[in-house]
Parts: sequence; structure tokens; C-alpha cells
Amino acid sequence: MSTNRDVTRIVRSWLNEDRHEDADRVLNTVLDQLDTTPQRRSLWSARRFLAMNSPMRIGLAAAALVVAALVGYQLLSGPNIAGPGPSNLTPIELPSTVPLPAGSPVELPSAAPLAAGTYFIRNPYTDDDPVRSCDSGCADYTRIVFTLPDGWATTDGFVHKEFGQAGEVAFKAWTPGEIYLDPCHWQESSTGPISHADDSSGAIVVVDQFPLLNQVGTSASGPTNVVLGGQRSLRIDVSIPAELDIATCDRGEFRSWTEWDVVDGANSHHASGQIDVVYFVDVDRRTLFVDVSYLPGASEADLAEMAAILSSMVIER
Amino acid sequence: MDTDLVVRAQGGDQEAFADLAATIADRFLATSHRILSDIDLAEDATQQALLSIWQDLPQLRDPARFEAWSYRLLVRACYAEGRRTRRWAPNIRLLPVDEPMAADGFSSVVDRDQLERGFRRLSLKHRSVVVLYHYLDLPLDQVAEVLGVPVGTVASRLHYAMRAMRTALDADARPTSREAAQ
Repeated sequence: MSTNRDVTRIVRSWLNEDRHEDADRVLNTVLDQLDTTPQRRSLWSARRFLAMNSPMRIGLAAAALVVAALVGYQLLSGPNIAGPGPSNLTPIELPSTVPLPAGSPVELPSAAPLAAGTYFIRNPYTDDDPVRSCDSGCADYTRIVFTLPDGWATTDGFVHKEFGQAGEVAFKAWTPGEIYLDPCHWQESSTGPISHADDSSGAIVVVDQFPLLNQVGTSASGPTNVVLGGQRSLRIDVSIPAELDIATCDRGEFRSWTEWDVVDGANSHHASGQIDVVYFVDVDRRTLFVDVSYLPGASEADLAEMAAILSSMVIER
Repeated sequence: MDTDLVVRAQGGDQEAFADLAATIADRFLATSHRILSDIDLAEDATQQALLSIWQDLPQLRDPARFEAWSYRLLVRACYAEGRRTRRWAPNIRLLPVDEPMAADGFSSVVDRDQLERGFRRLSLKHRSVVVLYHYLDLPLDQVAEVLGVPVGTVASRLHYAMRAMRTALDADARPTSREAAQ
């Protein structure tokens, strides 16, 4: 009979035996393929409003923030995403519904301008993605289907219009890990869990001082029970102050939440004055976030398109 | 790890990536060889992992976390190779082999075949934990980060794997019925 210490010693010794591996051939094969293997560029290091100086940026953001909040709230409260928003916002006239094309869904490419049509985002944790895995229980959905009008594009999972510009409108599906309590000073920030429960009437309620409602330096409203893509959801609206200079945040990033099961993954796609409408979709195992974001300069027409896209959305289980 | 190399490679500098890859390739191959117990599969996994690193490196935010991030890609590549292989591999059940053992079990010289057999019976997830912890000497929290699972899960898998190895070694060391009758 062996002891635990014996086994550990024997296994360690066996693993550390020289097995004469030589990686030169593999290495040469890889290096030969670099020219034909493009790197996937990241958005996190991209800076918005590159052409503007800081005072201009803040001024524009502040001036447009109130209008955008009003317009955005109203437009994003479409028939499929019902629910009251911040009580101090005054309703405005809604534009007519944007007609969307119909058709069989095609998979969203990694980066491309998109023709009008119906697309789907596959749950990235359930395929052979080298970074993500469903091994320890990812959010339980198979794909998100939606229809886009002309003029939209996609990059790194974001579906967007006017990307990186003052009029940006975008959405992205996330499997979040935890919420940063201080998104600007995230390096030293504690994080909070995403926890919700059902009350006696079947509505979703937040528990444990829901961290997205209590982040340092943001304004939040909600939560509101809504339906998104045919699934029960909670909606929380979060806005970043127009006067915040994100360049002063840790490493120049404002991180709202970590990305579950991704080393160093986080949502840092934020700009001063940005408004995020975050839908916590109640699927099993883990929460799915659909994060709709827009900047103060977003046009009423683009926000109407976003509302129509959300209305077209189906989250398949 | 030279973070300057990582940063330059993130920017598309192929020469920097070549230097970076040269510093990790041997270790990657050795690690994947141990996880997969097959040098051909290990070479494929290493190649895929290095290419994934090149492709996805711009998305790594903190170059200081390159090591954990890169090992994650390697382990994922090993899982993918393992899955791909299982699709066509015959379903072979490994049985204890009747062969004479040293009287004191494996306390003196352990037959590598015994270890190999015991290790192959483990799942890839359990093998990965054993290799990351006992071969790469990563602490449990780093193993957890690489694998994307809680530390408790790592500890549990490690405990199970080592217990299974011990059982396998003890079973192989036990005299067969034929030997016992002699």
C-alpha cells in the first residue's frame, strides 16, 4: 500500500523525466503561418473621440447627455422591452417603427460591415473557442437571433453603428463574472456577485445590494422586470458622468464587469457620458447580459433602429 | 516573461512573437505531451495554441498575465485535440496486466507503464490539473485561473486524480491471482 506522499513523489518524478521533446519543427510551422494568419484586433485599447481634446469632448457630452437620455430611454422602451425607466425623464414623441428585413439567420462574422438581414450570435462558450469554455457551466442559451436594417456593422461581438464616434450605438451579449464596485479604479476595486431571485409573484428581484445599482461614480436606475428576446429579464440603466475623464481611470479603462471564464476579460467599452441599458436575461446556470450602449451624440434615428433590433430579438435556449 | 516582447507581439511584430514563441514552445510541447500522453497530438495542440496566441494576443489587456492566459489557450487546445481524437478512437478499456511486480510494490523502481496506464485513465480535466500543479508547479489559484474554474474545483480534481493514481498504482502492484497461488 502506497502513501499519499509516495504517490505525489512518484508522479512528480515521472512528470519531470526528460521525454526528449523538441518543439523546433512545431515552432517553424507556426512561424511560417504568421503571414497568412491575421491577428484579431481588440477594441479595448481603442480610444474614442481621438480627434477631440478633452474639454471639447466633455462639452459635447454634457450638452448632448440630457437629450440622449430622454430619447434613448423612450426609444429603448419598445413593446418587447417594456417597463418604466427613470421617473424624472419626460416622454417624447416616438418615431415610426423602423422596417426590418426578414430572412433566414446567418452567423454574425467577427468583424465586418453588415448587410440588412437576420443574424445570430452563437453562445461562444459552447463551441471550440480557445478562450472560453462551458466546462464549469456557462449561461444556458444557444444563440441570439436578431434582424438588422442597413448600415450596421460588427466588431469583436459588438453590433454597432457609428462605432468609436460621438454618435455610437451598440449592443453586445456578455456572460459576466462579477461587477466592479469602483469601475474607474478597478485595479483596487472589490467585486460583487450577480445575484437575483424570484419573488412570490414570479417577478425577478435583485438581492445582496445588487452591485450594478451601487457602483462608485455612476448613476443607475431600475431594476425593472421586462421581457427581452422572449426571456424574462431585468433592466438596469447605468450612465457614466459626462465630466469623467476615463483617461484618468486605472490604465485608462473604465471596467464595469469581468467576463466570466476569460483570463483578464472585462467590459471596458465605455466613454464619458455613455448610457448602458443592461438586460439581465434569466437563463439557467449563469446570467446572460445584453448590454445596449449609446453615446450622447447618438441620433434619434439610430436609437429607433436599435429599439427595432431589440424588438426583433429572440434568445434561443 | 519579457512583457516588452508581449507588447511588441501584440502590436503585430512577428519578430517579437518569434522570440516569445521560442521561449515557450518547448515548455508548451512538454506540457501538452504530458496532458495528452501522445507526442503527435501534443505537437498539434502546441501548434494550435501558438497560433491562437498570435491571433488573440491583441485582446490580452494586461501583458503581465501572459503566462496564465497562454497556458489557458494551450489547455483548451489539448481539450480540442482530445475531443477530436475521441471521435475516431476505438473504445479500448485498459485492464490490469499480469506481470510480475517488485515485492515492495513501486517503492523502489516504478514501472513507467503503470504510471502511464493510471494517468491515461484520468479525464483530460484531471490530467490537466495534475500537470499544471505537479509539473509546472503552478499554485492552486493560478491553476484555477488557467482552467477558469474555482480553486475548490481544482483542489477537488487534484485530490480525485491523485487518489485514482494511487489506486491504479496499488492495483498494478498487487500480486495477481496467479502469482498469489504460486
